[in-house]
Amino acid sequence: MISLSDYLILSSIIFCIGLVGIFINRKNIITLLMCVELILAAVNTNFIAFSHFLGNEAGQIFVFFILTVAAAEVAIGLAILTLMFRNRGSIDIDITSSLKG
Amino acid sequence: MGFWNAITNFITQTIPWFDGILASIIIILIKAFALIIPLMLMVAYFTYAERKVIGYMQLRLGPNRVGPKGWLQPIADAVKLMFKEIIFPTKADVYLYLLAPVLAIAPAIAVWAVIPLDADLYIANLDVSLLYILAVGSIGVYGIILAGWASNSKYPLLGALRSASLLVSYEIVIGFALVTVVMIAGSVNLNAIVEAQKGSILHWYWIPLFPMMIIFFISALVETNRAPFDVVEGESEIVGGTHVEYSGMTFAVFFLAEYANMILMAILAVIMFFGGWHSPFEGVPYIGEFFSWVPGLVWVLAKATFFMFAYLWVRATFPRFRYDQIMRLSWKVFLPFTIAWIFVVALMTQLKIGPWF
Amino acid sequence: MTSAQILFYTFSFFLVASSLIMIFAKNAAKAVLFLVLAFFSVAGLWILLEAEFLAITLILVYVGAVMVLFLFVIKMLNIDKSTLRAKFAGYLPLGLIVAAIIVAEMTMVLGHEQFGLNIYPAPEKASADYSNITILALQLYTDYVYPFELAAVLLLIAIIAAIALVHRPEQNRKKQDISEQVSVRAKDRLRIVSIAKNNKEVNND
Repeated sequence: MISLSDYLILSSIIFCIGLVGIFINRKNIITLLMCVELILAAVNTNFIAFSHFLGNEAGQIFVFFILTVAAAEVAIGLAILTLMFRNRGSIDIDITSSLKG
Repeated sequence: MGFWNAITNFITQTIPWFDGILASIIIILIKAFALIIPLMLMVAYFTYAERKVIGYMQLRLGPNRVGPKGWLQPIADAVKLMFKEIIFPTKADVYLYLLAPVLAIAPAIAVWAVIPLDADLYIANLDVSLLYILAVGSIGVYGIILAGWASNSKYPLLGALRSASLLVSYEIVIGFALVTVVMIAGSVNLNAIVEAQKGSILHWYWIPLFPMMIIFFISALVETNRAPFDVVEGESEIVGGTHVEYSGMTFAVFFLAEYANMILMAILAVIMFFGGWHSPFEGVPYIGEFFSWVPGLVWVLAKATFFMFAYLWVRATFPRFRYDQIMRLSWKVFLPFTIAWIFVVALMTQLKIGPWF
Repeated sequence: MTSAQILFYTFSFFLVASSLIMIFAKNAAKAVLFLVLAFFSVAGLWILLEAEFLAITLILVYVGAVMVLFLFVIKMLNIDKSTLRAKFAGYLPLGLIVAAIIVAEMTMVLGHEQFGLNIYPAPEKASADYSNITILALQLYTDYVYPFELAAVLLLIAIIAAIALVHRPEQNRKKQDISEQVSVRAKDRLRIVSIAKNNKEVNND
């Protein structure tokens, strides 16, 4: 049988892959956003695994709200990214260090 | 499901060394083929019907050379497309280029798993089958986007950009239109939605949700890239849109997906608004009993044929919309109207008007 | 091996493999596609955990809308790939070290001794009439109705913010004015001139 810890270990591996992704893709905002999505998926899996094994639906409700917030985050993040590309001609994260305009 | 149980028993008895999992996989495969092969035949003869119907609407004869009255035309087309060479554009991303038609047809077929064609004629009875249809249907957009991206060509890219924004916008409209159905039926299970329309032709949802039915039909035209909303492939504007570069079987697969989606949308409209497998004469004295022997599948297909004909009718009648006009229709007309109608339906449900609630 | 275990390990394999390919992908569009595959695997895992409503919502929201948005943005922006990968190798060792430490710690904490079958036994399989969506809806519209409304408001704010951020005021946009088009008269557009009869004279001009 698949135990709770199997799900938890799997989601911790996914979490860490997302983390490494943030480290190595730190110049590309699009990939950064995607890595954040991966991390959120790992966290959501944790919530659902606990909800299933403890027989409590509150975890699934949490995931529902996380999905909502993440969708809003992506929409605004990509809007900012488009704006940044329009103003600077690049989505390199280093250019965000200059504050002017 | 007596029929399936008989087949299951037959397989488990004739091949005793099968354990549970293997037997159930084989049963699922048999069911899938029992669905896909008639579906593909329907698609083939739907193309024939389209050419004939539009031909007569334009005072032509349509295909009439291959076989008696042109009945073998779809077979001839299929054979021709199968033996044509598949051309790869220079610098095209070959894997994505070949993945795109697969991604177009896979959801178009996968959706059929939950469609109930009769009271007990379905492959899976999901608890959330309506959501499943919306979710799997939303994957179809990847086929078109990837086709545009991987072709490494201007017109496909333009077509893909158009289609991505169109499909996402109209998915919202379809979702909101179907929310009203869910509100009345009180379930997202398609079988339960059809069961809730039992009674007579007046119990079907097309009366309280008539505007939603119109909006659903128009949005279905956009979702399947049909005229007058076929800006994705609009020949006179962007040559052939996303499938400019595709040839032979890869090209045919896109069309299989498009026509399978058209038939699906017609059947979905029947399930949502026209009482699914219920007979239109139900509840009518004498005539209702007279028609009670007709299987539900016949009623579903008969009602769906009307919608499929309407697809062709609309195509032969209206000129193509401009891209910004379609977007305006979605965001400024349909979406506010469906949201307003949700409140109307909520009110009707609370006041228990008519036989539907 | 039961069928549930076969499914679990298949989904896990695809999830880990596709997320690894995603973070190392050179092409952003390919990264998006592998993230889509990762989301499908996650949805499969959630269905194994009997959370089918959330699994289908994940496909509907993420694969159907959010990832399409990503692909759309990647296509619209002309991103120079070479500059974005410049410091790739430099950060890999640090990232790997941090990741290895986290995985080791998590495995120690979450291992079978703490969260194993003896402490949390697998629950009974849900009966055929168990409806995940009904239970979630009952909770959402009673105990969690205020957070639910807040989430809706949050989404509305996100829509307005995204449109306000990227919307460009109209400048140099060519628009049709239909009433102006209809009210055009021939003499506004067309000037009838009399041409000299002598062809030679005209040619000399």
